[in-house]
Amino acid sequence: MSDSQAMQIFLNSPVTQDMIHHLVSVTLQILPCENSKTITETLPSPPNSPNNTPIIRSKPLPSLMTFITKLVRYTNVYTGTLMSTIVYMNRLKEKLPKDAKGLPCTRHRIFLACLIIASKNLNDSSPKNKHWAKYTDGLFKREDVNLMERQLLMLLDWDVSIDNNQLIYLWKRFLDPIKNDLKKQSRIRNSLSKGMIAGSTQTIVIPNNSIPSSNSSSSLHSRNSSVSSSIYSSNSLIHSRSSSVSSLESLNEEFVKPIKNTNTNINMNKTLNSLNANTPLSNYLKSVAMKEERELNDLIKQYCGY
Amino acid sequence: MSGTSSQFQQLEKLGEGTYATVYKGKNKALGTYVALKEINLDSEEGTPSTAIREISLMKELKHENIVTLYDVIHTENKLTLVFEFMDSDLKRYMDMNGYNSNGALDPRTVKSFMYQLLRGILFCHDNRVLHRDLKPQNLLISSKGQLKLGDFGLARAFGIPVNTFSNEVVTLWYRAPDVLLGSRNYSTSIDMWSTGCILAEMFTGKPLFSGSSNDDQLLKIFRIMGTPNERTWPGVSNYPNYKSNFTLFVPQDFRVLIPNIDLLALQLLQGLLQMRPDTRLSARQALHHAWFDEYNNPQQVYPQQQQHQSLDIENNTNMVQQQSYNY
Repeated sequence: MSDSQAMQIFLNSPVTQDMIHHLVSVTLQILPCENSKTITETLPSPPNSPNNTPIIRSKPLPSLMTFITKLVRYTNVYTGTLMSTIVYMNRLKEKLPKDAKGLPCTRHRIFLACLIIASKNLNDSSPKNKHWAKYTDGLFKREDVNLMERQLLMLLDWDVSIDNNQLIYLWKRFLDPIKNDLKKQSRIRNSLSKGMIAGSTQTIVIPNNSIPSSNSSSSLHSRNSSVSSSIYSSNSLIHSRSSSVSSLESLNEEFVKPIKNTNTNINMNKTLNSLNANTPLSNYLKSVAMKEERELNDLIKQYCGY
Repeated sequence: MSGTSSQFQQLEKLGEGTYATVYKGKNKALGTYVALKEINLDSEEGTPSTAIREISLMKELKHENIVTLYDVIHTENKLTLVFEFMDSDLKRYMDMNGYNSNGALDPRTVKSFMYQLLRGILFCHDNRVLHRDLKPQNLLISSKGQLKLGDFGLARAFGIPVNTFSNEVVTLWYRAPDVLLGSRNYSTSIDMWSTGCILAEMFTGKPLFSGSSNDDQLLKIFRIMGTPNERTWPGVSNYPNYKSNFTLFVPQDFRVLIPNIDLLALQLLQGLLQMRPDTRLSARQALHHAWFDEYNNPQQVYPQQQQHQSLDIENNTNMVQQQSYNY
């Protein structure tokens, strides 16, 4: 019950930097790859002069973080579709031989192929490969995209099934904070209603409750917006999402409904949350993000030799 | 000519699927026949999502009432799915074997096909798969009278919250009213409506609701089932395509449309063709319907009695047939 509730909230929340960090770390762990620096150094760096710049044939490889962030921004991919790539990346990792090694761009290819397959498998309407090629900013051509898709399908032996329990397990780090939040809310709600009825002396500070400023975001909201704002404003993300590819428009309508529903829920709980002003959720999230940053740096050191 | 893998010899064309061409093929080494479903890959699209899902789902769905996928041959510009070979499909079977060449099947064949169809669907639904394109053309028939579900091009896994669905699914004539009204959160009941349409079609040889557009299809359904309202179908007015000025029709008696149907089959048909998706019979419920007692509890019915009953049914239907021809 609480799993599926948390899942719904997670799926309806915008993509955050925290999520992208996690994807980068999962992608990095699939297999070791050659250091991309050695490659980019051998390429001619684009001259800075403002006049006729020669056409650069091969682009320097962007970091996975930049690569994924751009894909997310260009495609307005659903949170669920994006995060389902973890299922495929893990499945692929299990199938690869222990000593498998990749080229600098192998992980970029793997991630993109996983995202394309997730998008095609989970949504009745999804971008074509020529669009995906465009979303890579010229890093990959349409033929590259077709090839990486075919290779991934072969490596996965066409097993692209996803089940709910897998998702609950793989998204634990994201669902747990939401579940804790839900638990806390219901606990407060209970004690609040008990307090009201019994008129007991429980420490409920009413004044806080009476000024639920429209700007004071609920803990759930702040969780999303504060983290994502460092990439782009969460407002613009929500806006661009609703104005996404026309073929997806009608699908989005359907998605607005559950958001509205949870919003009313959130609004109802807002007052309750403000009672619990000491909840250090944002602090907690910051520390999680920092911890992740450290883990990520370690991984980069380990795998890329930076 | 043989553009497929050298393992197979490509023979005559069997038909056009939703997104592919199907040929009969011969395994050169074994001499056995297969069906080769060839999908031309468009370099702009890449591997079609329909193919990705069909292959991924068919690899999991191994059942005697679901056509078997043997192999996949994936090249740069062509994807070939190697399936078990089936002699015919229900559409062609009805055209060829329907009595008085009007396409209608005898009640015993209808019952056997219906039972097998429901078993195949139950297996899909138990494995969290919606077929979403059930129609006579997609039900394959072997010379031994076996029926198997084929063409999973529109099929989808369900039950994971990350999915998004389209309502542009199922061939129009077999599309459920809730989907025609714009529902996107349909589930297994979408297949059960199609199954009801197929049951009626096997009895008459003619599609039950043959609309020419979304609106016309709804109208054709209302004409027979009655126009729904908030009293008969609570919540119906919330569907995106609902109009308060739908032409009003009262429900018709199926027996007028399907004179040769027996009472139990009629009951089952009514259970499947429920306008409200939540009251439609599930595949499991349909399989346990009394009409199938002879399959479900064969020991309870005395052989003589059984024979007697089925003869009775045949006599009745023959009489009805004659009557209708006297007009």
